[in-house]
Amino acid sequence: VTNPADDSPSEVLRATHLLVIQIMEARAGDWTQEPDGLKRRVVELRVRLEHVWKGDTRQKSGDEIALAVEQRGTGTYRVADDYGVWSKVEPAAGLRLLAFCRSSSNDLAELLQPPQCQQLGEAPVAADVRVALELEMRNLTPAQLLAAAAPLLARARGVLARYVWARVREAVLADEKLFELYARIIEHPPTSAEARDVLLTAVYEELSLAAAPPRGALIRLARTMLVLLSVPQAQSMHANLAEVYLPNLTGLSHGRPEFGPSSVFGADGNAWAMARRTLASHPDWDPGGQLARWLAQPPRSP
Amino acid sequence: VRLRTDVAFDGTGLLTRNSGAVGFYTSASGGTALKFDGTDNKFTGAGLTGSVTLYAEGIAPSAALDDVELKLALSGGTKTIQPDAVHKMTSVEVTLDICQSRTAAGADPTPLSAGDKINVGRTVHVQDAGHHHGRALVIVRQVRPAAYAGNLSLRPRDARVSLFAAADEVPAAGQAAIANPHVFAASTVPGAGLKFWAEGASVSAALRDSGAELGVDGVEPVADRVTITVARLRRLEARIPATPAKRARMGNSPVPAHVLRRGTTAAPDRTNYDVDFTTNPPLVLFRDAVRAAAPVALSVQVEPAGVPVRWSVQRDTRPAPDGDAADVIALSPNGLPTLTPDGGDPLKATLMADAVGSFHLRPFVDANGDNAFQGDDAGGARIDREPFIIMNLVLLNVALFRDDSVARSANMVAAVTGGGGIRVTSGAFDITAPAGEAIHMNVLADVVGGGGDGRRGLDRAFAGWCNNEAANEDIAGTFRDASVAPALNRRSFTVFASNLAASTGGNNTFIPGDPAPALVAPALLDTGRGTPGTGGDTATLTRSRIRTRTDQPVGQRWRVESIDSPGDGDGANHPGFPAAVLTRFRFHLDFKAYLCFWTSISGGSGATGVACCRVYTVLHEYTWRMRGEWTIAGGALTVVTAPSVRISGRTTHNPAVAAADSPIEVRAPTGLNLLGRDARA
Repeated sequence: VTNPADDSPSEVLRATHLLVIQIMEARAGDWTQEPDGLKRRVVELRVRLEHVWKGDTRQKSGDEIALAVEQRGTGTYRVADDYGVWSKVEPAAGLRLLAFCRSSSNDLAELLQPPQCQQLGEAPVAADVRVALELEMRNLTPAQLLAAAAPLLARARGVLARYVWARVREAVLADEKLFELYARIIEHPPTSAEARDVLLTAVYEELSLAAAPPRGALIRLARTMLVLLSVPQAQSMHANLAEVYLPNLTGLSHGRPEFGPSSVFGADGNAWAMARRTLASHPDWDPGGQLARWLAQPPRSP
Repeated sequence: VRLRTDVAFDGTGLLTRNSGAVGFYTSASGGTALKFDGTDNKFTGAGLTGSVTLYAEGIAPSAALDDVELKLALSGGTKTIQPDAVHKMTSVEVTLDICQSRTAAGADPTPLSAGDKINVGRTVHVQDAGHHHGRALVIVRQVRPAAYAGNLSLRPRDARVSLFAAADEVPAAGQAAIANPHVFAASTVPGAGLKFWAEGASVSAALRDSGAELGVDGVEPVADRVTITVARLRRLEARIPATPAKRARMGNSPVPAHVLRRGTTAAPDRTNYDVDFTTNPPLVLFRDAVRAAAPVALSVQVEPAGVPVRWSVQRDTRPAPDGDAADVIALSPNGLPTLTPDGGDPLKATLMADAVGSFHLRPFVDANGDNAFQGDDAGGARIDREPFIIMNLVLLNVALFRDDSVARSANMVAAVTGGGGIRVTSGAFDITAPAGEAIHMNVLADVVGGGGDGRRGLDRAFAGWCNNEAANEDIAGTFRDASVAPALNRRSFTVFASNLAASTGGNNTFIPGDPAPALVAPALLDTGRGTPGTGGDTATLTRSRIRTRTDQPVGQRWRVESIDSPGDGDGANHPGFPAAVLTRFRFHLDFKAYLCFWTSISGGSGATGVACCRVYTVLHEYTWRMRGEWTIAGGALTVVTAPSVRISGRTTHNPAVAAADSPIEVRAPTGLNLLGRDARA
């Protein structure tokens, strides 16, 4: 795996080390009160390094180390902040974790301490990472990567989606055909909700910051958003699509639409009608009616 | 003039003159002027025998050399009278002028009147090592009569002033003051006069205690003079009121104002007089960060006391890329921020942050009477600057480009814990993966500062999401207590209390027998930052950040984001009545999120303590709330109210408003530090 860059949107690519560990033994100390109102305790661990998925370590697979980690929290169920990477897990013997680390060290004991250790993922996260690493090993072109990732994203969480985005970002924005492939993955009903959310917001934010966003990409993304309004599997995104993303993308939120529905749908009257029907059936998504009025402009024939 | 005879004389002598250009007096100073009326100019022989002394004074310049003729004629008496005694004189007039400051390069400054050059004089600022201050033009006028062949002598009155040659109007390293005294032939003075420049070398002890003097060498050391006051403007101070606590309580008030000073060193510091925004770092404020009721308070000190001080604010109009771009200027209808001199104390003024761009704020001495500071002219050419000190100022504009904030109800999830409790989560507080969080506060904002690219000052500007708990929390567990008859419901619910130390149930829980919680009313700051609410990003959510600062043709576009993912829950049993079993849980939270901006001249985003980390403006705000309610029975949850996270009431302020004009609370205490549970019943 290359490019362990600080600014990559992918935690897989940002990490210098991806380490699968198992907690062999955990002994938690007593909670003590801290001046900031939180509580703190130290957990003494015996950790076995199971696999090194990325990076080099001084320890070999199967080696065990002793480690004392800090947990912080309110002492209750209340969670109001990120209290540290080890505070998000319940360390217990037998627990397997995937550690995302970023450091020049190769010592497991150092790598597993924050801030070197940036995230600890459990099994679902590890599955995403394994898929991402397998894709990475194949040295795929962006088109090949999108084709290969599309079915995998049905079971994926955000980790795989962010990896895909990081690897295809530049190509997708530069190539209309790739953008089309990317958009279809977002629209594809089996794509998981979290992966869809990641892929859509990533390209949306990228276009938002572009000095001169490609008009074709803007229009295609608007179509994706309108299509998603009718996709039940995208239900968790519907309100945000209608209330935030579509008005912003089209320019409606500034009162100056940059393109009309005719640009989006062309001669596809069915898709246009579907979008209008969907929006009409959810007036709460568009309380001011601005999106409905925009959609009411009929598409032109080609 | 001495009148006498060579022998004892018993007649009379009559003194006459052919011109009134020279007057004659009976004493060296004061005395009686001779009227030449035939009486006062008639002297007795006895007087002349012993010698009569008169004192001559030039009254008007001679028209030509030796054109004044003085004649003593004797008459009467017993002695033989020789021919009349005749002497010729020349009345020489020399003039030294000092000028006001120029109003523009190439426009000669106006000389002070004969009275003002003595009684008012000219003020110059003591020179600094960077040669920022102007010199005053001193002119030696052509001698009358012009044919006078003697020498003139020019010198500073004392060491407070140095004089420089005509070519040295603009001070620079390597220039040498003229000799003291500077003696030169009167014949070298041209018709337009001979120019010199007076510079302040050290500060006057009193008004007009220095100056320059012109004499006729060998005749009169001080034939004319001008007065000069060497001033120093120092300790220029801007006091910027901080955003006050919305409610003064629990030690959060008063919030100290920021104080920025220039000119505090013992010797003048060259940086305090420089228009360059790198050499003389500016005060940076967001537009409208201060309110009319509490503007920036300005003050300055001046030496010597009594030097009249005025106030000026000017935009940076230097040629590109230094001066403000037209697109910067156009962001505000005000070309300049409002500067209001104090009506009673000329050393004080107030300033509003009601313009956009780069400015020079100057107390100055008006040396040409036009009530405006002149330093460099419109073309950038330096002129004989009026005395001044500078505080540079950059006022930033911010406008919302896009609000991409979204709430994600799907991430609000409830689960049964071991033993029959409930845990509600809504994310992992991972700003790099906002799709997994309850709310992603996320905007694009256009920030414009000064200069040709609109980016001056932006490295001293920051932004973040400030969250307030806008209402009392409604996180409550209902527990069925069947140990009593009849069975009843008991509750455990969150409260904001100032007496958490009085709770005995552990984890800030008030149980039966404890005093009632001393409730603290919202709105309350919501942050997990250390030393919360003390300035800068300590008023923002822990995960708040400026993700990107993207250069635009003018200014930058910032993506400012944060996430929040509160979670809570309850155990299976009531904290105060262990026999009572959890049957219902409600999770209702109400927040108000504010997109805030602030500055810090140190360049750090935190509570740096320096101007102006405690001065916030609000660009955008909205309400967000979390709702969810469940029943728990037999280890299973049933949804009563579907989990939801919603944003509403999005409001943009254009331009951004002072936080003091918004409902926002930026000061401690935080809700989290006051959070407890009331489980007394």
